[in-house]
Amino acid sequence: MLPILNIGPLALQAPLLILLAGLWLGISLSERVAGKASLPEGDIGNLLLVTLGTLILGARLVFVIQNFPLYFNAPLGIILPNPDTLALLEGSVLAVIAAVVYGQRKNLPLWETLDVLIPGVILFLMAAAGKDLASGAAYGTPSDLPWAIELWGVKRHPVQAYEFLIDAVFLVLMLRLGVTGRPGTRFFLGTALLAGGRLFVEGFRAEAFVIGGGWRVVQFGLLVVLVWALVMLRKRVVST
Amino acid sequence: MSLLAEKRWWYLLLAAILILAGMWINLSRLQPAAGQEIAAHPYTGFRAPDFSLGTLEGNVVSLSDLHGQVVVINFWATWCTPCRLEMPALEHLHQELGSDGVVVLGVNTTHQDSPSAAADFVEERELTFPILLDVENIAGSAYEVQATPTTFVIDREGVIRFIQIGGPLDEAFLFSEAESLLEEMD
Repeated sequence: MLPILNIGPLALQAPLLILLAGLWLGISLSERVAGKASLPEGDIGNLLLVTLGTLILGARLVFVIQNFPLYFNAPLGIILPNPDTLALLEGSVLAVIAAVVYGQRKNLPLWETLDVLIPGVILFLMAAAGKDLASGAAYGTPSDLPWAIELWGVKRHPVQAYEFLIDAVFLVLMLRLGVTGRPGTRFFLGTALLAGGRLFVEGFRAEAFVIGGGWRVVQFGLLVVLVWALVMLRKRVVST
Repeated sequence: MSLLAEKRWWYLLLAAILILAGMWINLSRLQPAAGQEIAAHPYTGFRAPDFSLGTLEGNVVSLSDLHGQVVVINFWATWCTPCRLEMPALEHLHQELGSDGVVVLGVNTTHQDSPSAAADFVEERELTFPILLDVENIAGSAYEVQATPTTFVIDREGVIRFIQIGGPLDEAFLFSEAESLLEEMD
């Protein structure tokens, strides 16, 4: 594992660098795809930056408001970067609102925009899997398969690598297959693939929120997303 | 894609996906680890590796002796600027929640610092929480510390619940973490 890269006096967090690289590559890819789809490349890149910026700032602001008495006594903490101090659900709602407002102001067509965003999202998720592999996070269940990796004292499924590879296959499919049809077809196909892929990969994770006899809650959520995306995909195919 | 348009194929595909997904969800259920001891590794969700180190005053502190309390372990060095910046937050935590069951341990990475520099710093900043001297990098090695400061928050069961690499620490977040861990078993 390479959580820290020590370069002279600098201690750089490798997982964060991988994530930032993935973000940059994801935005660049979506911009390229947007150019091919005759959408304004700059607006697509800005849309992603506005959404992400609102997500981070909004999530941070909500967390500070929720814990205001503590921050009132230690205000320096408000500006310190810490991914654990983000109210992600509330931040996501604010980010969606910001994306919708920005998209409307720039007259970006909804489904065409979502179509060009999905390859960038997949590339970013590949980087997120790489980040987990570098930091040893989101690790897999014990395994004695030949490709199992030693992590936290036990040979385990390299679940982060599974995720990376599956996403890579999906990305190639999305870019190579000439997906045609009504706007939104590419988005729902990508969403279905991502949900299905994650439903499979989640089965190898060692840590999960479970109910009853070990049922992984996230898999049920992903199954709902998968079916919804397929239903929406079919509607688009049928009406073409 | 055109197969999706035909009703027969669509229902067949949907049924196949539901059956396969259902089988996989059932097959991949996570078996509860009841009765199994959590392994010791320096990562969130694992038991905190034990260590024994001498303090500036010459006493010996073992992590295992602090079982049942919330422990904050901060690896630091006197030459490290973020370490110096976050010391008031750790002192404040010690002062405010020490009597409630939060133990702050400042592990000086003495193998790359010096006991006298650590002692001078503690005196200058009037730090009152225990400062341990990791002369042979025993704790640093057990916790795979690659940069200072690095902070581990350990719950009353001895399980690592939060790690921060780098600093300075967000004092408000540190308090909220410690307080929520204190409440867990109250």
